[in-house]
Amino acid sequence: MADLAPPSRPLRRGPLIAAGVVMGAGLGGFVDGIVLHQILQWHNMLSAQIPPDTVVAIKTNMVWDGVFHAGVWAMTAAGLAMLWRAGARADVPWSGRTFVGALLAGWGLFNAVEGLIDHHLLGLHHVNEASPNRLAWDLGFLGFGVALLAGGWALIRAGARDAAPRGHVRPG
Amino acid sequence: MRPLALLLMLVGSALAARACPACRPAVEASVYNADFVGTALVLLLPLLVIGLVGAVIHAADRPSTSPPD
Repeated sequence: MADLAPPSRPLRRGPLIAAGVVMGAGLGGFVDGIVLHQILQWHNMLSAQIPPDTVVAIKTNMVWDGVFHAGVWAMTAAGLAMLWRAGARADVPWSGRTFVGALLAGWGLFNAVEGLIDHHLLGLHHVNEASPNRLAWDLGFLGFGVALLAGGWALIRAGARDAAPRGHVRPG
Repeated sequence: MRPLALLLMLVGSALAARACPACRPAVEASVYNADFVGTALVLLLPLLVIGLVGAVIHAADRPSTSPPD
């Protein structure tokens, strides 16, 4: 049974923000995989190294896409577990703005980190490999990530005023 | 007539999807080779970095505001 008494300890937002960032990064990875890999078919995980121009190359990329999806699934599940634990703590304010902001920041962090490492540093793939101007798409992907980070950060800051832990949020 | 045509299309597409029975050994050879672990680590590196950031945020865990009255 959760303690419903007002917390006497200082409030800590770290667990909720961390849960949102990890879950948001996982969900952002799914957006990348579902939209850019599968629906639009702009790239695969190793499509700059193994161009998908034969059935074997396509299936090889499909395996590595699966490894990537397994990773983002694990990240999403970890974020869900962290959210569950944060919700059980009386010293963690249960703020929708903070959590949604952290989700957006996590998505933006995914775009920024994955974009920098996979697109620019390692060259594993590019956002739109069919485009004659790959760099523009890669930079746009990074820019979108930075915008998500900024929007998420603003929401997290706005959520700093939310102080009620989960047991004290009014229903409905 | 139209349902029959649709059925034939569905069956035909399923056959086409199985049209490369010889691919599996080649795919397995191109994935599960000496580079497998290295490729997997490189591929998952961004997720490891993001996980590290999440751990740092969780550990930082500084008090934010006063509890409600």
